[in-house]
Amino acid sequence: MVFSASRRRHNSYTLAPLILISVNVLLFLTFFVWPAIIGLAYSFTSYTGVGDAPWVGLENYQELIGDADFYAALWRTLIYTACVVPLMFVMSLGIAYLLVSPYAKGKPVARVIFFLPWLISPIIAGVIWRWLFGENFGLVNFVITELGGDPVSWQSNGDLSLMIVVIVATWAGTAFNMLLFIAALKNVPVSYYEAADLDGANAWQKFRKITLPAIAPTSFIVMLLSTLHAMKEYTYFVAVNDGGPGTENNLIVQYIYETGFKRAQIGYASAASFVLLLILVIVAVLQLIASRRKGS
Amino acid sequence: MGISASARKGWLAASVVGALVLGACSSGSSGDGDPKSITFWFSTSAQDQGYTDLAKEFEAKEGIKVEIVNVPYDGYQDKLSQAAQANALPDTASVPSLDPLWVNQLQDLSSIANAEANKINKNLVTADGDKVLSIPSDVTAAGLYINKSLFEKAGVSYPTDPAQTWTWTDFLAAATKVREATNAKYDLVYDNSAARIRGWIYTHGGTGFQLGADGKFATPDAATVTALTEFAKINDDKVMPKSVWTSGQDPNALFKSGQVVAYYSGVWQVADFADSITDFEWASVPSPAQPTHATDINLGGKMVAFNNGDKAEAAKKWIDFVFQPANYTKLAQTNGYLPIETGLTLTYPFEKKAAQDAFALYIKEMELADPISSSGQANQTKLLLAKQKVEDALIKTELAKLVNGEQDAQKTVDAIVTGLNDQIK
Repeated sequence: MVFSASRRRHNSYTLAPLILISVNVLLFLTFFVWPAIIGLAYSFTSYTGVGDAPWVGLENYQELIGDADFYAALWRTLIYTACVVPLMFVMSLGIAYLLVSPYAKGKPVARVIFFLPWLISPIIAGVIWRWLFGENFGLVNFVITELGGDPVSWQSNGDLSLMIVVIVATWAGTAFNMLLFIAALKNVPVSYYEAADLDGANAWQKFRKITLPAIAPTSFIVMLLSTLHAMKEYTYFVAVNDGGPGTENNLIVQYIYETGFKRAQIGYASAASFVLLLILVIVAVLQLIASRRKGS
Repeated sequence: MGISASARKGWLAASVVGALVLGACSSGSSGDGDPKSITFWFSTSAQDQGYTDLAKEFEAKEGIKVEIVNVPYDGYQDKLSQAAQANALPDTASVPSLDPLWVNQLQDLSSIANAEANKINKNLVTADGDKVLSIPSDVTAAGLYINKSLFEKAGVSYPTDPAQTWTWTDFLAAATKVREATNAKYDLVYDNSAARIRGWIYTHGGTGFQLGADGKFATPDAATVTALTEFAKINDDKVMPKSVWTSGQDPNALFKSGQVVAYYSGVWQVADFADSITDFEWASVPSPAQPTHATDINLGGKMVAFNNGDKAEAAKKWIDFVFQPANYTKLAQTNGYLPIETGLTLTYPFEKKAAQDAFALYIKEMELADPISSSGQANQTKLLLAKQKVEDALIKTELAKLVNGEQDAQKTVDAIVTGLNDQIK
């Protein structure tokens, strides 16, 4: 009887989790693992999307090594990531810090306002900013010309065009990170600050010596997710300037899309995708190592 | 030894969940289900009323409901390819071009195309031997529009007869005169598409990107390179705004703002302009010829019916209904189509004389156009019948690099030819 009861308990504790995760596992296998395996297989072929997929071995990867357009897209991706991640980090932490401050007024309203960009579809956000910074009839250029200035090449200057997307992505991405930071900041024990006050620490010292170390795990997550997200950015570039001017702001994902679908080089684009995957894995591992060292 | 009740419940739950997931993941072939309803995919931003009206009449007559799905143009071809791979193609569609990926799933429309009463221009249907794969809903052509109000304000004249048209040099000189006299912002905006740039190349005497006898795209002639060099040059933020070709700025919106003297686009704009331009007078004018009188004659949506099981018959019935002269007349009139059927008396429902005149002008332009004008769609058909396909969107990308100064015209045409040929290895 004892054995039978134990077995029943064992069954229910084994089966319930299995059932609960089975849907996710099935979806993961169907929509991630299987397409990934197919993608990896295509990367060794010259598949064009139609007919056979002739095996070419490592030819696509060898070609990628000498592809100037690929390096240009990769370099632009790194520049974009290097700009947007720190900016987003500072903005979201700064706003979160203000929103948990006991001196701040109208916090509920401010939270809603700052969170709104997160609720807007990236395409809509991109279109809104395109109206603002449209080169020919955008609102910003309209104001500039009304004030007697010359219109600015927000779209046909490559660097300005990149800068606009950095601003858009920061504006849109700050909200979610801000929420993470608000939760982390609220969990910092008040007693630390009280002790620091007794020791005569100023605001900057308290922020640097107490707040930053206390929210380090959240900071790590924010940095990791923002970096991975930035390196895969696509929507804002397409919506704001179509990766332009020309192909100057074709980031790596747009390069993959253009190569795969507009040039019908599915095999080559798959190889580029796997190089990107490798880069993202390296970034994640490096950040993990750095985080663990700091933790230890 | 048997399975316990709780375990049975667990497995039952797992089976139900599994079945639901598999059901959700399955393609849901549109060939299954109620044959009293079929799907019709097409893509337009303006010409939809005609199909909606016909679908109602079709349902009243045949008892078959046509579910019209307006798919965004960007990505429409990709969506069809994915639908084919997922065995979830619509029952009927109006598509920009046929795809070898799903061409073998098309029904034969020869009985409709060859029906005496329909008087369909058989030169423009896509046929594989005796089998008709698609019938275009309409004929399209590229052409020039002007802001008539600005021309009148500046006191500058323009030609009205395609037989006595101007050159690009004359046109640009006139447009600059108008811009300077009226404080407009630009002389011209030019649609950012491979089809439109063919019009520019042909009217400049170039042959553009043509299939050679070996079935590969040949290197274009010198006139094409010169024409593209000239095109890049006028993207100087005075004659033309650079942002249209380099950063995806919408030329249609720019022209409608009233601040642009002229707009090179296609016949489909007529219906749109007739409704939406109220702040100024516009007119369709003859395309410049320098020296060739040409345009880019293409086909509007290509109507196809897929072999979707028990819905196949209803799908073909819908296409047949659309092309019956009385119904097609309504469709062409309402949607503002240049007809694929001859002998129709069309009265377009546009109140504006400019829109009525535009159609008359386009018909004249096509009569005068050099045969090279229809080579773009002829190349597509040749490739399709050879079970090959090219994405000419890369022409846009390479030209954007040219306009942005990333490469010269020679490198641009070389990259285009290589890119096109890479797809038909």
